[in-house]
Amino acid sequence: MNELTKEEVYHVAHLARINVTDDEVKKYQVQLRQILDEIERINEIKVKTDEILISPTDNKNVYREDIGIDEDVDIFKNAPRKSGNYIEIARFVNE
Amino acid sequence: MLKPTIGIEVHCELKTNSKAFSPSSNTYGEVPNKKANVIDLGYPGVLPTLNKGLLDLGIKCALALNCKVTKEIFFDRKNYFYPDNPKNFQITQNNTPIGTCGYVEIEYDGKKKKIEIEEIHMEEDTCKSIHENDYTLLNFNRAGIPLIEIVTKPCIENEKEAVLYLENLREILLYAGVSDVKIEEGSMRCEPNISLSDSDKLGTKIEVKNISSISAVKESILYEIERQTKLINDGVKLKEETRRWDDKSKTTILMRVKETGNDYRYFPEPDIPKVIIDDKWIEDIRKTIPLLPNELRKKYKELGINDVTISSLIQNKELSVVLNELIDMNINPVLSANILTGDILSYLNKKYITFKESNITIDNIKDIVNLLDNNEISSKIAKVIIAELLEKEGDVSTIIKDKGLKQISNTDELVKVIENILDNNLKSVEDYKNGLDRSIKFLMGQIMKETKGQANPKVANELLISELENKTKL
Amino acid sequence: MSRYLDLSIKKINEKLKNKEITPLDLVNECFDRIEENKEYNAFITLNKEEAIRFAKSLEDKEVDNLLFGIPIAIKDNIVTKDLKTTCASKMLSNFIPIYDATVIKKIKEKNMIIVGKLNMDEFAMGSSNQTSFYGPVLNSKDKTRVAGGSSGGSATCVGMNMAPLALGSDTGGSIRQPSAFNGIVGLKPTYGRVSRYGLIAFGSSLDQIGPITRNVYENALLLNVLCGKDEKDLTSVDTSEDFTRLIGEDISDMKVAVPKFYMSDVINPEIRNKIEEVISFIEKNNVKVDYVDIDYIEYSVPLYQIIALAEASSNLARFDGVRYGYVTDKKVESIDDMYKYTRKEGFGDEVKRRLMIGSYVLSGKNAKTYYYKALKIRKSISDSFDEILSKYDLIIGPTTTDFAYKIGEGETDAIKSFTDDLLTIPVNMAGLPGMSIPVGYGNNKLPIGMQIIGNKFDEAKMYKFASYIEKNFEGGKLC
Repeated sequence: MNELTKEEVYHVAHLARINVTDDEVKKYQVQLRQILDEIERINEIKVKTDEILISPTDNKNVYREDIGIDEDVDIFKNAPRKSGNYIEIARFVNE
Repeated sequence: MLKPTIGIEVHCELKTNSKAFSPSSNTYGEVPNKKANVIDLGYPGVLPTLNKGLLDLGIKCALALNCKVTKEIFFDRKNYFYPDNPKNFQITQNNTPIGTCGYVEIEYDGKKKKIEIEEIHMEEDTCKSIHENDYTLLNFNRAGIPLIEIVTKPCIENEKEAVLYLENLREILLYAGVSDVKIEEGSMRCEPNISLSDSDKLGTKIEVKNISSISAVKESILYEIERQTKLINDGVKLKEETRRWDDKSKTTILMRVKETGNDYRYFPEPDIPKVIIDDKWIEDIRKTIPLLPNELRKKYKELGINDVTISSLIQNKELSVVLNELIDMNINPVLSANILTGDILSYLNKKYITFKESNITIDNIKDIVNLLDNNEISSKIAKVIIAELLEKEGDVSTIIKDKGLKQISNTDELVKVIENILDNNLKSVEDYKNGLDRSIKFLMGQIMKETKGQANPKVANELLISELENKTKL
Repeated sequence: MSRYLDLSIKKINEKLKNKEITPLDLVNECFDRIEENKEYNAFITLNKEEAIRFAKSLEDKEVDNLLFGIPIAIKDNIVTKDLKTTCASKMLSNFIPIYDATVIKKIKEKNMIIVGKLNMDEFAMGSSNQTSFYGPVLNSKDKTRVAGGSSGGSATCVGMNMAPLALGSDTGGSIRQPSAFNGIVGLKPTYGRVSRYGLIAFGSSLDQIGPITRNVYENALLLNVLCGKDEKDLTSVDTSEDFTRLIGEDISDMKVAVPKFYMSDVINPEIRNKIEEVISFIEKNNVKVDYVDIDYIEYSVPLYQIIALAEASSNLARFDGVRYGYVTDKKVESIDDMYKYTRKEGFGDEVKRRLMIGSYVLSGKNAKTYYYKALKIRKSISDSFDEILSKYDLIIGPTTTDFAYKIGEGETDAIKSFTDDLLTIPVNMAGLPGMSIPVGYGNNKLPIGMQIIGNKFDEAKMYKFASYIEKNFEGGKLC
């Protein structure tokens, strides 16, 4: 199998929001290809069923009653930036 | 000839007590970040729970919009990074929307048209961002509030249909009790998409966001039709894009060019087991849906209420609910409707209060309508009583007694008054003899003036005619 | 130094009841042992101060259950209120949880003592504990070798008896494989048996928390504490029972299946031979053993790469530098760059590769070719397991294809961390319970683990079988 193209690596790195340098792209072209070669083995399989298994749980219709419960938690405890009653982030132009 | 095709996506916040996937309460305008827990913040290790209220309202919404309810549903994750999206995925429905193939009927230029609804899904709201100059503040109170998304087919032909669709949809959702549908407060958000084409093939779809009123939907559609027409005529090839409505300049502004179709990497949410919706569940929900606007219009019309009054009632859901209660108590519907949409409605509007907040009660109205219906009071007196009750809580019979407003139906008393009036208006008596009917009107007016409106009009009229006949015979 | 922790939990419990020893004695001994074996790098964070305070507070309390006052160590992807929880990642190296995982609440209710947080592969992604931001964990039986992963810290901790009990998590073999590599007992319970609330998610439809212990009985004891329905985890199930209840019963007349693939030439012959010894042993004890086929079982690695990584790419999207965790210092121009540098700097190589693959298999048309197809194959594997388990009590085979390898080996291989889990992944795909017990050693003095797979919610039967082997199979006795 061929290496991934540079564009493909940039695309998946963007989807995963991971910055990659040109050098890293070269490394990932090979490594990701290795994994994808393995993944593409499933193309050999002709599946007998159209049913999908999302989760092995047999549970169904699990819900709670519609009652509001508010906890007093310090949701800012781990926030890198906060301001008054808010979590703060830098504002960027072009958004 | 370029023809516009319009589709509309509407998001409405559902009126539940708690959030869609966490037990935090669903409230508006609280202290920032006080109605948010670890689940709403997408803390490491948390899992969603599922609110039955979301399912109930989802089913209700599907039924109210004539949709087929999907019997086996699950949720999906929509993956995208954005600061207002706490987990950087949103729990929504992609594979199994709660409702499909519905419609909203509109009436336009005398024709009826069904605006087809492709599907509706249940999902969670994002958190609210407040943008300042160089920073953004995040308020997670809104994060996780349940939403319903209603997507039409691209079947809307012009801005008029779009507006009618949105008005009707809004009324239906309000009457069904699923949402407050307050566009200004953001509990209902409309996003039209507009494409132009001169063939049967649909043109390039342009989505418009950030619209905060139905009239802005209209303006944005008209603006887009004009803008796109000009570009196409200039030979420009359009690209799919999302634009933002700018209310100040009355234009749309480019937001972001859409990346390759499916960038959201949808996949089934493994943390929420599937939900089977059986017929009983659907029927139980159906029973809780009150009459919806179109059905109400028909019912009111059959009861003899006039069109102006009907539309006034439909626009004021609370009064319509009051009227329905009165109708259920066998109170005269036409008189009730007239009273509610007359002085009462203008008073409520003037004071910016609801019927419930006012001093007048359903029982008051019941009493007034019954008195009117039995001709025990005149409409003029009714007005006086209503004005009194709107200002101060009270009881109809007490007011009548205290103010001496009781209608005079006593024959002897009225005959005395009539004789006196006839004696003083011999000209009119003469006119009557000569067959001039208008003299009766004049004389009735005199009677009412004399009795300060308290004369029972029906009895007075009968007595007047018989007195006049007597005089003529003489 | 006292050696109370070498005793069985039952014995320790008697001594606690007799007031011969106190919980504080156990805690002090535990920290001595941890200190003594520091080079093994099993722990990321110690909970010394709080553990000592808590042990003292237990002195006046009645010893009301077998696990009262027993030290336990927790894999560092299970959140502990006010105790740093890192997932062995720079991304969470400063993260202080503000709530307890459901299993932590249950452990505290039993008055067990949490001594610290265990090293692991970063975000549980790896099978040798070499992807940890805090460095590799050494194997308890040979410190030049890997501990296995991702629950490497848990396995070495119990293997060295630094603490007698540990919690691990298992997405594709992360409890069973390191347990096999360290010669101890590890169980991945049935999906839904133990609440996942508070387990930092990797592959949500595969993850389970499970007990890692020195022997079968203590494993069952710990599962007694962990299991049960949790309204905060919709996939959890109400299944309270005593998992020790069948231990000691006879296994004759049981029916056991061995997947042919598990005895094929992908397995190190020495390991295969050991499993064959076990098979003849149980056959002699009137257990019926058949070799069977399970559909698509040989495709478990690509299946795992698709399903687990797709889910992971979504589960780990929340680490973005906004609400908690690491954030880049770089001056950046856009919110996307803030995300991209935060995640580049906060995640290690293995995690980044896996997140990219996970994004890839869900992106655009790939969702259909890879992700949904994998879910269909998953359904077939699960059906195939169901069919076998409707005819047999248990399935057995080796836990791993090979022995624990040298530290540093395979580090540059992007595939190695997956193929290590070849035999354990199918169990997660079908949501079945799977367990590894030691059955002996190779000539290299490294332990060999045998895997026991049961029907859903059939752990009690697995414990019965495992305990029988533990007690009676001579080849399993320590060399």
